[in-house]
Amino acid sequence: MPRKAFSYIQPLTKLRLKPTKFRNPLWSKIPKTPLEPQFSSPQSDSEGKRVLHVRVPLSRTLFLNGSRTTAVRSMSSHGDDHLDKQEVIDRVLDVVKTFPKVDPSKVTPDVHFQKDLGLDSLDTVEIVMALEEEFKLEIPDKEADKIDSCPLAIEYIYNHPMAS
Amino acid sequence: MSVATASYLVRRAAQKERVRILYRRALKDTLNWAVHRHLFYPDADALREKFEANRNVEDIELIDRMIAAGEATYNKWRHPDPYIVPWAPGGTKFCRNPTPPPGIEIIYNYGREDND
Repeated sequence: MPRKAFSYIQPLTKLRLKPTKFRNPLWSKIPKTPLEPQFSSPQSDSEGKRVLHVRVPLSRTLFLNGSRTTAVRSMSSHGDDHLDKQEVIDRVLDVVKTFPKVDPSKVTPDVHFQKDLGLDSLDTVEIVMALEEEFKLEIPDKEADKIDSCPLAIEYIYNHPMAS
Repeated sequence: MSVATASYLVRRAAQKERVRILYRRALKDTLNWAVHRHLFYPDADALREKFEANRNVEDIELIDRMIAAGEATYNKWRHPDPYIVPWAPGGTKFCRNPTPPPGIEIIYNYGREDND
């Protein structure tokens, strides 16, 4: 019985020579919009028991440690999670309120550190350093020297690409 | 306002800025030397005391000399390996994962689409 010749050149899979997009073709089946919870074929038996499968879209899953996974994320490991304005405002105000020499009831999003809160210039330096630690930033000295009020700090941090 | 007063005020403003920046750098350096917070707070208080002690000095030449002395002290005791935020130049993650060109993305779905 003659044996079949085996070609070593035969590729195991078809090569796709012309990718349409920079995407893995295996992943192209994912719908663009997140899936709504849907019920797949409820199987009812005589007792009336029903087995329901609820599909929860992955993009809305919140893990126990509070981290949120999104179905689509870019390759960059940083700089792609921008803070929204309200979060920046809240955290800046928290930092300013916890400063020992500040009366927390006076703190609003548009206070000036020295004019409204009665701090001196060295206290302002300390607050800016606390803000840097809070948002994991490193602000150049000359720019940090310009930040002397809450609106300026909020604006600077909100527009900083590395704030997190 | 006379020219002399204006030049005095300009010089005072420059001095104040130098003091602020010196305090900022020195405070950061204190954090470099004292890693833990319970070590950092007394050091920071001591540093603040040093600045507060000369709060009411009026002589402008004396202020200049004191700032120069302060900067010399700062340079002498500067930390050889300071903390740098990871993404900044000199940090551990500097240029590690540059932003990919637009249009490329990874979709993390953990192979679910093949099993559905």
